[in-house]
Amino acid sequence: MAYEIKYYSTAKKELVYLCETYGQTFTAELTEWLKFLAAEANKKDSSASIDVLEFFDDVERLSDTSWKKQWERFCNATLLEKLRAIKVVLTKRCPPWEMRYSSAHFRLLGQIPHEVDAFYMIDHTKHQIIFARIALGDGGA
Amino acid sequence: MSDLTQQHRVINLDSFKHFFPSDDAFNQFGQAFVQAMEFDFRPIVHNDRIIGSTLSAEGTKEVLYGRIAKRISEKPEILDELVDRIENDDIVD
Repeated sequence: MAYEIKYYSTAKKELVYLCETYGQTFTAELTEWLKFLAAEANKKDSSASIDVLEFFDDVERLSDTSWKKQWERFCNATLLEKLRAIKVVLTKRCPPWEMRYSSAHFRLLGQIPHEVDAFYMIDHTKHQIIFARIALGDGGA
Repeated sequence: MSDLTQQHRVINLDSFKHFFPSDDAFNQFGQAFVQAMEFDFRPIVHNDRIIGSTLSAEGTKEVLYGRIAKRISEKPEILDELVDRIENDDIVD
């Protein structure tokens, strides 16, 4: 069963802006995608998204190894500080609860291929998926 | 069939079942397709034209890891935004 879709208020404003700006087809496809993520929210093995906290843990664990050479910009001190700050916010919440990230391509105004990113919380106790950020990513398919 | 299978964001092989002469033929095609999807970046060709390539579940995860790393490294303030929203925003419908 799909989880109920909710939004942090700023993310809701982002969603409304994107839908008002980029047309009906984009709006329909984006809405379907959010529903799809809600339907996948209770699947532990879903490959439609990644666990953000797990990703952050990997970054911290690998930041002193060869990964650092490949992701030097990512592993700079400022970013790691920000990352640790959000980890504190995330980890103090009670499980079963998780934060996930997903991304997909859409056509803006029915023509221009573009990524859209979504960061969202999943509250398994309330069967809710709460979008925290919905924004355009890179252009191109 | 769930509602999601009707949506074009998801390609569900079941929606092509009516092209096959029997359930058995469709199931054999399905098994072959699943095996083909086990390896990343195998070109998918139709009428001598490459229409895309395979991406396994594991490969999809790697792509998402790359995207989130790129996004946050290019715009680290995303993390501050997320903290602020989680801590201060109302949750709305």
